[in-house]
Amino acid sequence: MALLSFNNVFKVYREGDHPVYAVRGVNFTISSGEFVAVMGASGSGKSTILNILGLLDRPTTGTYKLEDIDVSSLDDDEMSEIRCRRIGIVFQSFNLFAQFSVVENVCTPMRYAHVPPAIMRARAEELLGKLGMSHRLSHRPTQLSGGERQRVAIARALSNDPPLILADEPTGNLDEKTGEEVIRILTTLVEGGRTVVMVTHNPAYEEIVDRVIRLHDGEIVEDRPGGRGGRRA
Amino acid sequence: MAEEVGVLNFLRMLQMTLMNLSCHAFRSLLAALGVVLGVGAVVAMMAISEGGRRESIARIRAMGIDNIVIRSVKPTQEGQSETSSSQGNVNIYGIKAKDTIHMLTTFENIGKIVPVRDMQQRLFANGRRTGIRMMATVPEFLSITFSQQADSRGRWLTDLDEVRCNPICVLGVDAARTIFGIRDPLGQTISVGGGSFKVVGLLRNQRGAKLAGQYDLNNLVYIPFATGNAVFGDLLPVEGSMRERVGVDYDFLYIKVDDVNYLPDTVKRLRNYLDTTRDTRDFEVQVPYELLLQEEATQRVFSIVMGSIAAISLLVGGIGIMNIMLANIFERTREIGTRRALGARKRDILFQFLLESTILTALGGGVGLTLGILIARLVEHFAHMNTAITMPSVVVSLAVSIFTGVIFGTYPAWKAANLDPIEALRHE
Ligand SMILES: Nc1ncnc2c1ncn2[C@@H]1O[C@H](COP(=O)(O)OP(=O)(O)O)[C@@H](O)[C@H]1O
Ligand SMILES: [Mg+2]
Repeated sequence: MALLSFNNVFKVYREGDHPVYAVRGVNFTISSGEFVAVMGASGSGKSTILNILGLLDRPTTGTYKLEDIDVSSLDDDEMSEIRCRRIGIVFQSFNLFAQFSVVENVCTPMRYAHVPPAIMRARAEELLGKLGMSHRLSHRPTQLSGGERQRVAIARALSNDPPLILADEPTGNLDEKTGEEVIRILTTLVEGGRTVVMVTHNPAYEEIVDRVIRLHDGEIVEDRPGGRGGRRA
Repeated sequence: MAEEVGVLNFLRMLQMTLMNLSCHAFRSLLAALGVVLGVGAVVAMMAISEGGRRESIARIRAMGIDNIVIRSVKPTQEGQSETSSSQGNVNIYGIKAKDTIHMLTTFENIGKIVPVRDMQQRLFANGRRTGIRMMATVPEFLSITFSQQADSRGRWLTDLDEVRCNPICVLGVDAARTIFGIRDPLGQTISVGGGSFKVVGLLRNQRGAKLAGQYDLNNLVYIPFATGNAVFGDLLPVEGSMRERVGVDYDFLYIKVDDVNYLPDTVKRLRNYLDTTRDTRDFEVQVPYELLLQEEATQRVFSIVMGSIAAISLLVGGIGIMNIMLANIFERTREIGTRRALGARKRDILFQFLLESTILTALGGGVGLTLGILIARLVEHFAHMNTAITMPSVVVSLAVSIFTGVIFGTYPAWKAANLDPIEALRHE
């Protein structure tokens, strides 16, 4: 079942007089439950694609359909609503709110979804528990290690139970071991039925994803099954 | 249920906002300083002016709003009524008995006249001369000045005192305290200018209430009018002068009119009568009603001035808030981008920062209010001025603070809400 699709998507930036083609004519369809790695050199358009997928940006031309909705038809509030409930975003540099506790951080998306406070807190604690962060509930992000911070960020991305998780180099700021832990967590999410699209530079991760999409200069140069592919029908 | 969630969410948001602000507690404090000082100054000045207003209104009330007060005034040097005699200079001036008779007989609107005579005495207490003066007057004085008896065991001057020229007196409460301290004044005797007067009662009026706007009612000694004449005579020695003496029948007259509607007319006729029947200007007509109108006009001017000061200080405070909010938002650009990525709508961001600026100014207003009340208290304590914090001044100052936060917080909040999420995320 197709969760989302890109149809001839272009993204053009204006740099002074001449246009910069960040994404040029990209087509793909991602199914529910797929674990996709987006790879490619720096500047190849990975983040641009992820931003479009995350409804933070719109294609210049072409269509992006998410759950059968043409995103170009949505206004800002509707896009926010989808970001809030249908998409979870994980950043390379965690982007936790330093002034709030771990639990508060995880609660933020639920706040925007108007979840009743009591349920909100229970759910945040449950998620953090699953990610092995029960002992850090009222800590501040600055008191945590990088791996712990990313786990909090993942819990935050999951708080409204979105079907699609986007992660732009989620292991970029972590050492190898903690990076692997984060990838393991993402794998369990996929096993739980979620779709994960992750930007990564690490070739080792090609072996544990369902699919690898490689970009070069804004174009797809490779779209093949990853090492985990065999396990899926 | 939905409402409950809304309220709870709002409370949580309030808490988060406070957490955000406390991150930069010192900076927030500085930012709100303009509002704090503005509100503080306005509240204090309003308290002082309100205190002053109440005092002057009490003073005017004590003269009686349906009264006319006439005061005898010593004419300027060229006064022709000065006669030399073997005993020295004698100044005879002011309202005479014949004037009051004329008034009572020809002015149908004049119902009652209460005379007061200044006995030209300054009382001594503990061997020292005080500011306490002695006045002779009639029983109706109590009601016409809205005074009260301060001690239920005592009494006020009576008609019988008049008839018998009883050597008794009633003390104003402040006078009593100065003369007798904590001792019970009732039944004591005071000696003044060769006469002895038994204290039979105490009089109290509102603080600031004055006899014809001149002498504090609480700081006088009252004796029966007839007693005054009997003990001290027609001519009284002038303080600080061996040769001079004065002959004034009535130093003050309280004239009560029957119908307040005709008060302005009566005043006009009265002024006309007094102007035409004497050679020198030895009187002054005070109309509490007119004073009240004047007071209100003064108050209006004061309010406009206060309002302008308040507006300017809040403008300054508001600009401070706007400044700090812009800095805040610049610093937290990445946070804003993250929040947008997590699903915050523009209006969520707008509301967040608007709430922040509003709470900042509301807290500033609260601190300013406290400061203002404190200043007013200090002024009351050290400068011995009456002050009054009124409910409207409290409500208005807080409302205006909140309003300032909303007005000056709108632009920064709008800017924050309209940041491009991707640019914001890339910030730093
Ligand atoms: N806002 C922008 N304005 C101009 N050029 C941009 C902008 N964002 C991205 N680009 C350009 O688009 C290209 C792709 O960028 P990006 O998607 O961030 O690459 P990647 O994430 O693969 O490193 C780059 O050449 C980058 O310089
Ligand atoms: Mg990138």
